[in-house]
Amino acid sequence: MRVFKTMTRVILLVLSASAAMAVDAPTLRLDRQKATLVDSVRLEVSIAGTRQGDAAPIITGLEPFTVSRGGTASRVQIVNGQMDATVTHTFFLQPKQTGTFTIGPAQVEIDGRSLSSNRVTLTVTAPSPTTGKRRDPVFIESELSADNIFTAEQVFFTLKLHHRVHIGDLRLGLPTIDHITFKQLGQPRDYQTKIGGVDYGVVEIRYVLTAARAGVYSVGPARMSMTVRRRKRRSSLDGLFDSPLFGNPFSSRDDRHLTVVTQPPALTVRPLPIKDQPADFSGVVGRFEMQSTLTPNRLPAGESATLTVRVSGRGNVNRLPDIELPDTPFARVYGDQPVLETQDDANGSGGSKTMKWALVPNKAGRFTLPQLRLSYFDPTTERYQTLQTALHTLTVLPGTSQSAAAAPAPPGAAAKAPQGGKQQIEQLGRDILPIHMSADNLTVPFRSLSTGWFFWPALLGPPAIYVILLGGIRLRRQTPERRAQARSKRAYKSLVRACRGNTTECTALLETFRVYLNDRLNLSIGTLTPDEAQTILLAHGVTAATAQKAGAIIQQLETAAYAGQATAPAETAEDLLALAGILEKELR
Amino acid sequence: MTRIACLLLIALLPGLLPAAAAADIKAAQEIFFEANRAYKNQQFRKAIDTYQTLIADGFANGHIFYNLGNAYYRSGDLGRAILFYERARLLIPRDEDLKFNLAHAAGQTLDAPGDDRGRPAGDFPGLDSVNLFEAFFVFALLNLGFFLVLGTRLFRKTEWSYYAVIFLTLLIGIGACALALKWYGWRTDNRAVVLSGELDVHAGPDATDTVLFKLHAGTIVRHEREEDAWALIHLSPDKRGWTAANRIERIRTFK
Repeated sequence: MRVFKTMTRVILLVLSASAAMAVDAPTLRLDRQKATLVDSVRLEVSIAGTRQGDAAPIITGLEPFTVSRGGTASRVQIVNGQMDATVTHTFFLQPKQTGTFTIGPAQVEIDGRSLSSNRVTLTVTAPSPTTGKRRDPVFIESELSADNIFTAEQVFFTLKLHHRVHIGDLRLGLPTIDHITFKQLGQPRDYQTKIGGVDYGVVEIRYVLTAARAGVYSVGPARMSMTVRRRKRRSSLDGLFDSPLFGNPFSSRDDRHLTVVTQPPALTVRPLPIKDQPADFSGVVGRFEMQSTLTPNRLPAGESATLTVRVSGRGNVNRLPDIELPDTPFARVYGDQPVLETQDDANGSGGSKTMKWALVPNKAGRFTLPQLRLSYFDPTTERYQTLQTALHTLTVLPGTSQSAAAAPAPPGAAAKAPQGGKQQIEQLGRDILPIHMSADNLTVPFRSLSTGWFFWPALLGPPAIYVILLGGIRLRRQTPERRAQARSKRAYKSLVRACRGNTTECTALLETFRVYLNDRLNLSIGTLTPDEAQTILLAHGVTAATAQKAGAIIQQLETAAYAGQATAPAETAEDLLALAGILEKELR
Repeated sequence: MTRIACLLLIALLPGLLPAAAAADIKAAQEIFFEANRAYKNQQFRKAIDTYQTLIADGFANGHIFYNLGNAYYRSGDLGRAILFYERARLLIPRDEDLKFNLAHAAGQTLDAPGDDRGRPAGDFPGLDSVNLFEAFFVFALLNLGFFLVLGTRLFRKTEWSYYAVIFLTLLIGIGACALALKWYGWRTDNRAVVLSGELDVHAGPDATDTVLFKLHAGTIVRHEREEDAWALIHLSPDKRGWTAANRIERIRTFK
């Protein structure tokens, strides 16, 4: 029952999530942009936001290729009730002719809507002369996209491992060359090619290589180690030893370790030219562009405008300097922390650097911002280029009376369209409120209460006064009558304690009873005789029988004491206690 | 003769003391008006110096700090303006002018505000709108009322005083918690303000240490400790480092 409920919940979740999905336009993707006639190129069409794998895409521009389907894969993911589904159709293209071909768009019809993808370009070249020769089962090739470059210029270094046997446990060892750095571009790619009429699998890894110093370098050798897996010829006894847990100790596989190395290509690195080198050149090499914006370019004095400069392109973006905005006499300038973003893709390494300044003008007028410059070396044209920002003009309207800066108006502060016949109040300026002028402002209310001598009296005074009052009242209430009453209340307890405390001496018991009577009746008798005791008890309203009994016990104790008996009979203390109990009732 | 003079002085002393205090206040009022005049005449530097004189003379209160914040703001010193507005906020937290000016000045800082968690006073409703002295005053009143009612019960145990004692016990409990939180917040207030320009925050107390991030005038940070001329600060758990101690100033420096 519980399983059924869980399944129902999951189904409902999937249904509700799928109802909320939106189908995106398909994406067309090739595993590379360049291939030879003998290569096999992988083409993928991904459609996000659907699980309908049966809607096959129609792709234009596939005429120059032999196309074979590679299957359809769908992926569904539910995170926090949001479903993310993608269907990917895979195709393998075998070029029929050389040239540059545009593939796409791919069109898919989903829920009656026709969706189009992007286009991609594939350049097909003739295979190299070595490709036609029959080669080893496993071999590696390396190539550089250029063999003569400038320092800090990017060049692509490609490693291709060809294999026509099963391999695994690939390990790559790049060459370590002083002043040369390698940076991998993306993940290794897997595809098929044909060499000498034989099908080879290719593992291709691309790096962007830069040299920090001029010279002639040998880029290599790069090493690739792997395990080659070959199957032995099976014997008829193999089946006898197969175990589902431990396999076959007499396996028909023959694995062996193999290392292949590249022929190192030569690379000549030239220094950057000294001639025409700008004074502000900071070592940036590549191709870059610069965009700048000033928003707003018209504002009242005291408000803030933002100048944004973005330099982007391909090359060593990490060498892009932090451009400094010179001091401006008409505004205060607050520079923001520059943001550097790097990006690596199939076309190389690049990125952008964004710098921002807040300008707070302090006077009205029309001002031109100084142009910012950046120099770089373009290895394509072999020239230094200088980028500069556009000419920005800032129009500052008269603001508040004071020359101080003020905060930018909050978003939405500008006048809005009238609503319901009323007009929104327009925020024309921002400034601080004036100083406090009143002489009363020299005092701090309540401060003296919590500091200095007043603190502790204010905190502890009331409880202290209360305690003193309480003590005084209690003391005053201690009159002789109350004290006598208290003494009387304590008498019986004292007697009980004494009698139960194993007091057996006659004199001690006699003394205890005398003290009891003194305390209970507020007397001060020195020696208690049996007659006196009877008289006193009768005078306090005790019955004659009880008084007589008291007299008898005292008589008994006195007799014992005078007769020289040190200890009284054991029941005497109990009799005394019983008598005291009766007396307590009768005296009440 | 000397004895007579001494006797006269002793006899007149109780009368002279208030007169001396009154003279101090009168002199302070003169300085206050002079500073205000300087401010109105846009002599902000002079106004700052004069307000500082008042503070040095023991007249440090929220309104003087507020005026000083204004003077710094007008002279273009955003960091110190925010510093004195924040100091004023400790003393006159309900002042609407102060709230407006502080919000205005804070809007001009370049850095996003830091993490303000761990402020106990902020968790107690309404406690931010009273200063420590007012909180103490309210507690002292409750304290007095509670023991007054308890005292009356020593002489006459009435029904109203019984319920009043229960009610005041609850109130005094809440008041004690609020006062304790306020006091704790006051004592542990380690906020500091970046005074001017751009401030490098390093990985260690040395100018050659890696610069972790930069702060700008008016940003409020938490000051942890100082070593030599360097202060360890943090803006949030992941923004922590060392900076020159003279480039920041603690908000709570007075008692």
